[in-house]
Amino acid sequence: MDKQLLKRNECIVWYNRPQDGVIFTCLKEKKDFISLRGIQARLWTQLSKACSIGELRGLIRKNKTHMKYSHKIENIIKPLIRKGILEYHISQRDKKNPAFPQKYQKYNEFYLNLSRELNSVKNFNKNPNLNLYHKNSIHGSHRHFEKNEVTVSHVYREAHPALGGMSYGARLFRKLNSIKKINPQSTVVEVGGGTGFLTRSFLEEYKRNNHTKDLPRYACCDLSFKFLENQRDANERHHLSYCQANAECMPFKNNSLDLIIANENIADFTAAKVNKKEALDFLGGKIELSAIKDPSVRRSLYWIKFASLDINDATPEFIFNLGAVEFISRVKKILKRGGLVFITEYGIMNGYPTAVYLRGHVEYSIQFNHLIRVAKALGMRVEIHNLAEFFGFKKNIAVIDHCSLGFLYNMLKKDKIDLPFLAYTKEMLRQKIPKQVRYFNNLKFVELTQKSVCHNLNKFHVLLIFKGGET
Amino acid sequence: MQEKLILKKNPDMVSRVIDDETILMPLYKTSDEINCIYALNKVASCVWGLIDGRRELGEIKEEILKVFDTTPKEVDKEMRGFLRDLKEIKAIKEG
Ligand SMILES: C[S@@+](CC[C@H](N)C(=O)[O-])C[C@H]1O[C@@H](n2cnc3c(N)ncnc32)[C@H](O)[C@@H]1O
Repeated sequence: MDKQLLKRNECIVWYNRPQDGVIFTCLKEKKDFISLRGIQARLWTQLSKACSIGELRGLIRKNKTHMKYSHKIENIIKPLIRKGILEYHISQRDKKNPAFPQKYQKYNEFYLNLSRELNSVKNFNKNPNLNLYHKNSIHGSHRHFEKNEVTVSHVYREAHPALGGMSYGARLFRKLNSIKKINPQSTVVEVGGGTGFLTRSFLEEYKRNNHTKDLPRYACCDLSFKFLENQRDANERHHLSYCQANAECMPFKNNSLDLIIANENIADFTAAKVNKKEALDFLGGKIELSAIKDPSVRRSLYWIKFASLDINDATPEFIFNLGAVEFISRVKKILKRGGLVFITEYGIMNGYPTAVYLRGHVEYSIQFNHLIRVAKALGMRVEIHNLAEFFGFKKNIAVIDHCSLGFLYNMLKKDKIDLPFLAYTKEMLRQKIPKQVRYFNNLKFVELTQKSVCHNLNKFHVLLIFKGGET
Repeated sequence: MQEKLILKKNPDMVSRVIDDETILMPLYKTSDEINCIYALNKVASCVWGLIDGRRELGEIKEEILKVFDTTPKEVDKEMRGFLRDLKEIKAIKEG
């Protein structure tokens, strides 16, 4: 036991309060905030590099106050390991991963994705219904996108250097306006607008750009009444329409809209679990749709056939983005000729959707190739982009990582400062909280090429769908 | 090689094409197979793609000869080895 090496969990952000030597740490996944005191704090400081338990025992013995703990050091270490603060150190040589000998490392991602697909299918029936969750269980407030699910648009809702000094919403306006002119005659529907920040900055940029106060006809459509209230409050000074409805079957008139915006919400739409054999039997003409009892499976199979989706590489059961597909078919009806839909969400181009476990609900990543094929089969033109490239994110800029942000948030709460959740650069923080620079030492800032707060921007795609005519 | 033989894929073997390479992963778990994945070479990928429970081996061979610059003898040899491997990992069966 004494030879066992220990090290700090590298994901932990911490701060050593000089006056009493208490160390605060923040755990990555659970976002817990923990303070270490006395002997625990001493162990933490000793572990600036991996140390054996025997060495730690020796060091503790040298300290008069702590020497009494030296014989029961294991009892102090164990709870720290259980909480994930310390880890046993496994040297490179010892690191054994039986599933993946070195030469198969490049297949690791494939293996992990497939395992995720299998788990998503296995747990599918246990998960709450997504529509019901959004309709009934949301309590509103901008903190929702900090505590329950962080969105990219939320952490860039204020002017940001990575977006050339613009906010996400303003930048979105600029991009969409360059593709399809937005003017007072335009009719726009924003689906699932959350707290309404994006709407606000989108319309502010519209006004700045068009030198006019005459807004386009703009409606917010959301399944959650609470979020609609937030959207209304955030846009008090604008005269907008609000509609509580499921976007998968939006109640707008046919051929009535110029632009539909769906920012980071289609993963919330209905997902269906499909049996591959049943699907292949249906596609091979062995069974009729009417023989399939579950209506969401029946509709999924209809779309799989309609868009000639190849499901031969699916696992025996797989997840299908039914709601997102039906949203696209609805959009085809309600858009005018020449109309445009902007969709962004995280997802994949190959494989099948997988569950993402968030506080209160489980949503599903988007299989973008399926959506593209459906849109094309419906006779629409599509473009697919990477989100970072579409918005022109400057990828060499480093922003605070999620764990550090949670840590800072908690530290400042103690100082009675309510820090908004944003993708801070060091400079932004220096300006926002100049008196708290003492907390900055151990904060991690990561370049956008790798991570943006808690998102991998490379996994977010932008799907533009054009309905016929001039764009 | 039995030219008339028809082979069927095991539905519990998932295959995906990634960067032009076919990767197989068995979902049936015996102690040996847990966490295994198999990567197929180009010819094997092509053969795997053509196994559909309807085509005879002879037809598959002809298709391979159309795509690859090789001789019937070489294809025979390669396919024999590959099909033996696939049977061994229970990825295919006769029928
Ligand atoms: C993850 S939030 C995204 C909010 C915002 N667009 C953003 O970027 O921060 C999802 C939003 O979509 C709404 N929503 C979820 N399912 C919906 C559905 N089926 N129809 C309409 N809105 C839905 C939610 O109520 C919420 O406002």
